[in-house]
Amino acid sequence: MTDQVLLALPSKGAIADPTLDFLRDCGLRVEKPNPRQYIGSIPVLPHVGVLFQRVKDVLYKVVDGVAHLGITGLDVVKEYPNENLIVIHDDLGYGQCSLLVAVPEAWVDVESIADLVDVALDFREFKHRNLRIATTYTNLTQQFMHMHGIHHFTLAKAEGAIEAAPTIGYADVIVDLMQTGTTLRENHLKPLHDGVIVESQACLIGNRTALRENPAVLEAVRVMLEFIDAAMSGKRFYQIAVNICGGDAQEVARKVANNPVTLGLQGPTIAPIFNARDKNAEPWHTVTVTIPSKHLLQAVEYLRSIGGTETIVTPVRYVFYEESPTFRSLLTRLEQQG
Amino acid sequence: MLYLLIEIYYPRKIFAVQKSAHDVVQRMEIVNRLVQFMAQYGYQVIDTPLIESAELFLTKAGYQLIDQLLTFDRLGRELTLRPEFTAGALYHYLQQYPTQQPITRWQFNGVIFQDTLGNRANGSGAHSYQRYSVGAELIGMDGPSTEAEIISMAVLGLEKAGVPNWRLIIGHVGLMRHMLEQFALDNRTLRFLLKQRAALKDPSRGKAYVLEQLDHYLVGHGHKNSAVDEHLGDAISTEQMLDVLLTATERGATMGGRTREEIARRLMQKRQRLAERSQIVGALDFLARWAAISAPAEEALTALQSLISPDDAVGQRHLAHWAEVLELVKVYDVPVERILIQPDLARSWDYYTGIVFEMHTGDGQHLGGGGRYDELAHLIGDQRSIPAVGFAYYIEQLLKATTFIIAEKSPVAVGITPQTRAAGARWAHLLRCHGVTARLLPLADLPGEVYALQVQEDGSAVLGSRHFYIDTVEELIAEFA
Repeated sequence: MTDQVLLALPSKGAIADPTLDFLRDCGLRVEKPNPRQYIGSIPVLPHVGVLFQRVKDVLYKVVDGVAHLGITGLDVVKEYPNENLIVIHDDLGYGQCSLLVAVPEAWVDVESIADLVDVALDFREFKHRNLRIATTYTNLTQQFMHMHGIHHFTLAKAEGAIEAAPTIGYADVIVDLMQTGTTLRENHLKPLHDGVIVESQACLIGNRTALRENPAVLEAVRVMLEFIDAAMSGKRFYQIAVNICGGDAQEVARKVANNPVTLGLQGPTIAPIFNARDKNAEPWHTVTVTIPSKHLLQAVEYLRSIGGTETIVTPVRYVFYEESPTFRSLLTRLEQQG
Repeated sequence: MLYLLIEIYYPRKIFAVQKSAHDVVQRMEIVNRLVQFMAQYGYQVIDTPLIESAELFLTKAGYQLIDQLLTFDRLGRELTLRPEFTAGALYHYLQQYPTQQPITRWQFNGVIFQDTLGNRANGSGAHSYQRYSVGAELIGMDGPSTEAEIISMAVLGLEKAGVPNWRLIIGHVGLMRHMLEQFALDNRTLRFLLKQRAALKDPSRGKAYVLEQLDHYLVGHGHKNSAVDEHLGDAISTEQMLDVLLTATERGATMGGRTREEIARRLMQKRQRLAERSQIVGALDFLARWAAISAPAEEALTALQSLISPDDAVGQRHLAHWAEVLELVKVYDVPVERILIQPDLARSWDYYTGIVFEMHTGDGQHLGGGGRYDELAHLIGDQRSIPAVGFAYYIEQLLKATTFIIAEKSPVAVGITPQTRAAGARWAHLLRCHGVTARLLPLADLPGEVYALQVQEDGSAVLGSRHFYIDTVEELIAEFA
C-alpha cells in the first residue's frame, strides 16, 4: 500500500479558486507548477498529492478510490450518494448556494410548490403532456418532486445554461443552483420560496475504505483537519492587548474577568509594565485576552471603562484545541459504521 | 440450508432476497392451491410482460404509488418493471379484442416490483423490491354477481391457502365519489379531501388539522399572488385578469410552455377555491360522517341509507347494488360475521370506480384486495368502458399467516465412490422411480445425512445396519413409506 495520499480539488467552477484561497488561509497552500497540468502539491503535507478535477469528477474519483480525499459541493454529494463516501467536514464556510426550483416570472399564479403541483396536473389534463423540468440534478429533483406530490413530470437533462431552458422552450421550469439570484432574474425566472432542495456549500469528503484501511490517509486527514479546525476557529476570535493603569495584578484581573465578553478562553493574562523613568508612578499592566470576533467593540469599550488604553487588536490565525473536534467526530463515525 | 440468491444492484450494494428451498416449496404449494381453486371458477392462467411502458401505469396509478414504480430509460422510452397485473391484463384484453367485449376470466401469478420509499428513507438494509402476487380479473361482465364472485373467490381462496382467521372489509369508491359530487368541487379539491380521510380518523389530528391543511392548500402557504393582488380588487373578470397578466408578463417572453390565458384561468380558479371554502368545509363534514361508519353489513347499510337522499337516484342505485352484492356473497357460504363495511375504504390504485375490498388477518395483516375498475380501459387509451372486477393476494403476507405447513422431507443421500458410480446411479434412479427423492454424494460426505445409503462394490447398498439388493429394491422403498 502506497503512502501517497491523493486529494482531489475542483479545477473549475464556482468553488475552484475559493478552495485554493480557503486552503491557503488554513495554512495548507496548494502549489500548482503548471496551470495546464492537473496535479499539484501541498508543501506542508509532503505525502499528499493534489489532483485537479471538475467538481463532479472530484466525487467520482473519491468514490472510485483513485483519490482518497476531495473537496466538492454538498449538492453534488447529495445528488450522487454512495456508501463508500463519507462527508468529513460539511461546513467549510464558502461556496454557499441553494439548489432550488425556479419558474418563469410570468407565472404570476405560482408562488409555492403547492401551486406547482396544481400546474403539473393542469399540464397533464389540458395539454396532455408532463411538466418539463430542466436540471443536471436528476436524482434530487425526482425525489423532491415525488415528495411534494408532483408525479407527472419529465426531466430535461442538461449540462449548462439551464436558466435558458424555459426561454428556449425545452423545459417549463428549472432546478438549478442559485447564489445571488441575478442569473435567474436576468432569465426572467423566480425561485419558489419553499422550493429549496439543498442548501449547499463546499465540503471535505473521503473514501470510506481508504480511511478505514490506509493509516496514511487517516493521518493526512488528521493533519488537514488540525489546520482547518484551528484556522476556522481562529476566524471567530481576536486577540486584544491593552494597557491598564492602576491597581495590582489581582485587581486588574478581577475587573477584566468580571465581564463575560472579556473573560477570554480561560482567563486574561496580566503582565506588569516596568516603568524605567518613574519608579513611583502608578502601576501599569498589559492585559492580553482572546475574545469572540462578534464582541470586539463591546470588549474594547468595556476595557476602556476600566482604565484601558492603547488597545491593540490582532486577528487570531489558529486556535488549536486538545484535538481536532472534526477528526474526533470522524473517528467516532468510522467506528460506529463498522 | 440451501439459499436461492436473487441479486439486485442498487448503488454499488447487492441486496440478496433470501428464500430457503423449503420456503420456495411452501410458496409454490400455496400458489398451486390458489391457481387450482380459481381454475374451478373458470379462470385461465395468463402472464403479462415483466417490463412495460411506464405510461401504462403512470396514467392510472394513485399518487401514493407512482413514485414506487421502478422505472428506467431505454433509448428514450420510459419503461418500468410491472408493479401489478391489472393494467397489463386489461391492456392485453383490449389488444386481443379491439371490437368485441367477450366475458373473460383470467388469473395470474408472478413477481411484481415496487420501490418502497419508506424502506429507502429509514435505511433499512433488508430492502426488497419484489413481491409475489396472485390474483384474478373478471373482464367484460357487469352486475352484482361479478363482485360477489370475485369477493367470495378471494376469501374462500384464503381458506384453501390455510388462512382461516381472515377478515373482509368492503367499501364503495363510486358511491363515496358520487356523494361528494353534490358539493360541486373540482377534481383537485376532491382529491385533496379524499387524501385527508386518514387524518380525519386520527384522534391526534382530526378536523382541526385537516382545516389547517385546507387553508394551506387554498392559499398556497399563505403567500398571496403579490404580482396580481395589488392590481385586483374583489371584482374579477377574465378580461381584467388578462389585462393584469399582460402587464405582469411584460417582463419577459419566458412563458414556460403556458399561455397568458392558462395563467389567467388558474388565477381565477385559485380565487374561486378561496371563495368556496365554506362549501369545502361542508364536504369535509360530510366525509367525516361517512368515514365514521364501520359496522357489520346490515347496520352499516342502514347508516348509509340515512346519509343518502331518497331523491338521489344514482346514490340509491349504488346502495341497492351494494346490498345485492352482500346478499350474493352469503350464497357462497362466506360467513357474514367476518365482513365489515367501511364506506370510505379506498385502495391504493386510483382507478377503482365501484365496490372495493380488502382482506386482513385477525390481527390486521393486509393479505390483499381488489374491486371494480370500469374506467381503466378509458385511462389506458381505449374509447370503450369495459366493466371489470379483480383482486390480488400479497403472497408474502399470506405465507406468514398460513397454518398450512409442508413437512420438510429429508432426501436419501446415495454415497458413491469411483468404483460404485454406476451402481449408485442405478440405486438413485430406482428410488426416484418409486417417488423417493434421492441425490448422489461422494461417500465421504455422507456423515450428517438423515438417510445415508452406502453403495457397495458388489452393487448392494447399506442403510444403517441393513443390507439391500437391487432386485429387491421394494424392501428399501418400504423404509421410506
